[in-house]
Amino acid sequence: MRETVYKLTKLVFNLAVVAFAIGATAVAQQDLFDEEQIAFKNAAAFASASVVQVEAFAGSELIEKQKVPQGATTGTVINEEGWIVTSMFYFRNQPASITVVLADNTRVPAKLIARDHNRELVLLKINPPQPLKPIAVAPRDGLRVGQWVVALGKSMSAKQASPSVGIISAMGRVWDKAIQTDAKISPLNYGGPLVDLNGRGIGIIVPINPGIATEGEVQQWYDSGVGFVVPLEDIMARFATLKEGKDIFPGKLGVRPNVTDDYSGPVVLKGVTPGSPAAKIGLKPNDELVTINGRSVATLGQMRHVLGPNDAGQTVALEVRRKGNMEKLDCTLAKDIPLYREPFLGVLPSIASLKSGVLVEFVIPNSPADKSGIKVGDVIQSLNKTAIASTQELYEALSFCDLMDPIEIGLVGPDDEVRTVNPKLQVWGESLDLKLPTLSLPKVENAAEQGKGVTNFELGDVRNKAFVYVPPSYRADVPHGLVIVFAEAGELQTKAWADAWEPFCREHRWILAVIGSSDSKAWSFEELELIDRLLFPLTNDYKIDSRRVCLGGVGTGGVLALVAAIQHRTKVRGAWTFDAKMPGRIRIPISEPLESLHFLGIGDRSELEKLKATVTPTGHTMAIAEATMELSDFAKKPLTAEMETWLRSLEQL
Amino acid sequence: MNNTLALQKSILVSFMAMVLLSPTRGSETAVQLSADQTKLSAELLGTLDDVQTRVVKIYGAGLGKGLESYQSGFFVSADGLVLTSWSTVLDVDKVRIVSSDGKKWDASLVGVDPVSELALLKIEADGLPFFAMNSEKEIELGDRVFAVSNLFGIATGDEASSVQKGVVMARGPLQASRGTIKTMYRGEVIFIDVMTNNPGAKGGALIDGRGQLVGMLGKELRDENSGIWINYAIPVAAMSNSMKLISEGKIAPSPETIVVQKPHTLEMLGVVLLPDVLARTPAFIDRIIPDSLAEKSGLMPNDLVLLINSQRVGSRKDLVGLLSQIDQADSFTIVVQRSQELVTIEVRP
Repeated sequence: MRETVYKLTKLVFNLAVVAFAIGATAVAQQDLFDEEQIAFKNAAAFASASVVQVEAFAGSELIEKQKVPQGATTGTVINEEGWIVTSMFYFRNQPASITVVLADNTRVPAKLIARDHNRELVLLKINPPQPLKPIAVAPRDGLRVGQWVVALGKSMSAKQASPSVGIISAMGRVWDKAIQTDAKISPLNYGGPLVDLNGRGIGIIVPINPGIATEGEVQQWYDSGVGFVVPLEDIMARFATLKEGKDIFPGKLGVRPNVTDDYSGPVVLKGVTPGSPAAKIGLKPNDELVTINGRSVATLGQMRHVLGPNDAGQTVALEVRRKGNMEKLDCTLAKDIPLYREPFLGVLPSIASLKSGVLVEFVIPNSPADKSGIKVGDVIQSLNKTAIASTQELYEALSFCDLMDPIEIGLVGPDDEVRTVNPKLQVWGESLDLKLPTLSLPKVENAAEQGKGVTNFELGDVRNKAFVYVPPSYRADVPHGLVIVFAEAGELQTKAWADAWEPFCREHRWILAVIGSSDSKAWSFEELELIDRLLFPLTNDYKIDSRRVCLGGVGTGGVLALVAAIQHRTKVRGAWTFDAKMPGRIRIPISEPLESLHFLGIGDRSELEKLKATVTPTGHTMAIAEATMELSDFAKKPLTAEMETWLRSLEQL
Repeated sequence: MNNTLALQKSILVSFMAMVLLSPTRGSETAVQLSADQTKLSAELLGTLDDVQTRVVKIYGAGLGKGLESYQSGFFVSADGLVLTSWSTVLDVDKVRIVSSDGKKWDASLVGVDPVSELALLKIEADGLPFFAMNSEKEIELGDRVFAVSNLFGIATGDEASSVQKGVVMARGPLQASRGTIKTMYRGEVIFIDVMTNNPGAKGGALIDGRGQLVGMLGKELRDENSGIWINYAIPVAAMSNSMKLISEGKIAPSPETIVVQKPHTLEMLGVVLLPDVLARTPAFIDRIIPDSLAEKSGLMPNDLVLLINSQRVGSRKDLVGLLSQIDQADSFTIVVQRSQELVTIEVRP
């Protein structure tokens, strides 16, 4: 009996303990909930003294067609004398007036002292009535992913900062320029600080575009669970420079790697942009970038990550592998690289491929080649002492040449005489006067002519129709050019195209593809992706000359051709348009070696001149011809003399 | 002898259990909790379960018009009064209410408060869990809150509504915050960092860490100027007021519209601005008319007008608009930027 009672007591006792423990845990949860809340509020209250409201008044409304927002924003005090950092979000233009409202509602005028374009921040200066309380800086090496943080903003009220609570999501984002958080980041707190639970500043809240959103979409990425702040340590390190009114810019190196995918590596150079810091320190094609500032750059993405936080004017230490040896070089990054323009030598290479070298079949009169003494029948063997094996190699090597320096070309004449010449390259011309001779085809035993003429091309799950015209003369050993045309909306006259282009394609080795629109009245930008559906299969199925891949656009298809060429500028040489409705301006990235486009516009000369005025400053070329026929006549015979000349010019080097 | 040992063992085990499971304090933030907070029994775990039973899913009109046909609401009395947001979803003869355990009712409309944009519905029931609107403590900036709603219509049938977390970001008038907002409501709201600006969330409950009702989730609104979507809630005080008015059958007074007898103009003031060249030409003063009100008040050429009665002047157009809301018989304040200084000027008629 006693045993049972005893056992029962023990059981009840143990149950009571467990119940107490569970109760205690629950109380613990509630206490933790409350403690965290108190901690958030304390941190916010502590840092609030270093946060001010900033107002920008008036100034131009549109910067590059993007509406500049108006109103109150937030700033963070980094120095007691009145130095305030804020985001560039409201300061892309020059406001007519900037004022800062302090916590006691005093309003003081502010001056914009300098901008950091690499981090999208701006430094302001006020003369505060009393010394301000600068934000304390949380040391970066103490930060941990997952720790609580509070984002503070004063755009709603100058007196009390509005908090948003989250955690640190990641370090080293946006090419190592930012820390990521899931606290709600929006125009409500851009320019304000992200603080830890001790109220110390971790970074300044900015709308940095991580590269995923397209330009102009930055301000839509708010309250998204993904927000970025610029580390305060990086800002303080640049305070002395900005204080003096010196703007900071992203630093450019000027290398052209042979990979375009961020995950690809190793980073071997195809070349360097002429006049760039990379060119100045003598980086060469086939150099492999191994480390930058001691950090390994095994992939393109890693290279961008390491270069990211470096500004123009900063020096980086490079380790480069050249022909098996490691070289150490220092390089000072530049704000600007001289505008690149594709060079022109003035030869037509023979189609026949030699074991090594490029046979000159025609020398263009008065060209650099002509003036330096290159003759028909010469074989180009080397450029600047590097051996040249093929036309493609010659093209790539020429692309990286600086127009300022004469180059050295090693030749072997028809009489086996070896000599060198030193042509001074010119800019790729835009004239349409040049008449080039037909190139001779290599003589091959039993050369099979395999062209099938017109065939329908299945685009897949879209309403668009397309066809491909391969001239009957097509041979698999002869590289052919490829033109992909966006026809006038609602039209696809297969026979007219085939008939008009047949002689040209046969004589000069071209394949033509034409796409029709899905809507009978207009093209839409979604249809741009159709280019890819043609480009890949055609370049696989036929022997395509990569220097002669280009696009064309008729009428409403013209704009698509232009935009598609820009988007595919590493694969496409340019585009021609006939009677296209041109936009007033087009956003074109500046030209770079092997990404330099050539355009031909046929239509209203004055309209085209306006467009050309926006193209030329980017380094790409544009030839213009007045349209001598109506669009309806063009539809019957869609190939003009100017188009033929321009297409042929793509063969020259 | 075994019994004693066993007893000792169990005491030891219990002691260890107590030590291991007792509340621990964080080492970095030494915090003093006030007495009433520690006195509270363990509620957080049960709190949200309770709250979810008081929030309902509301289905009505809207289909086919491109608007959603669902929103949220909550019980405010045991016999079935439901408070929700007044919207097009309620534009049907019968509004369907579905509770968290799947019970369905057809609700009738008791009344609306068009000013605060709240609606009171009634279903026939008894013994329902409800929110008593009696939170004594005013919610503060930084306080942690939960939003309970059927956003995106995720919950159906016998599913509870969704709970989201966040903190209170600010309190203030909806109208005056960051540019212009299209809504009738002029009162104070609670701004939160919870992503409540989503279809179906409006009418949901905003509660504090104790499960007390703090506000009702607002409509999907966008700030016209900055383009951002606002996450906010209408405070309990405004809701209590509305409920009282609706149940008493009274109509809330509409917001006062001030009629200006003789609106001010640039000419009356005696100010000539730089011509309107850009869409947003700054309001730079070009000339002051001699003997005018402007001259007497101390305005000078090259002054840049920044504020009129604390309202921001973004452009010449803004200035003309703001002046037209001021009666010529009234005094007002102008803040200008004069070279590197800010000057406040009182204009008296």
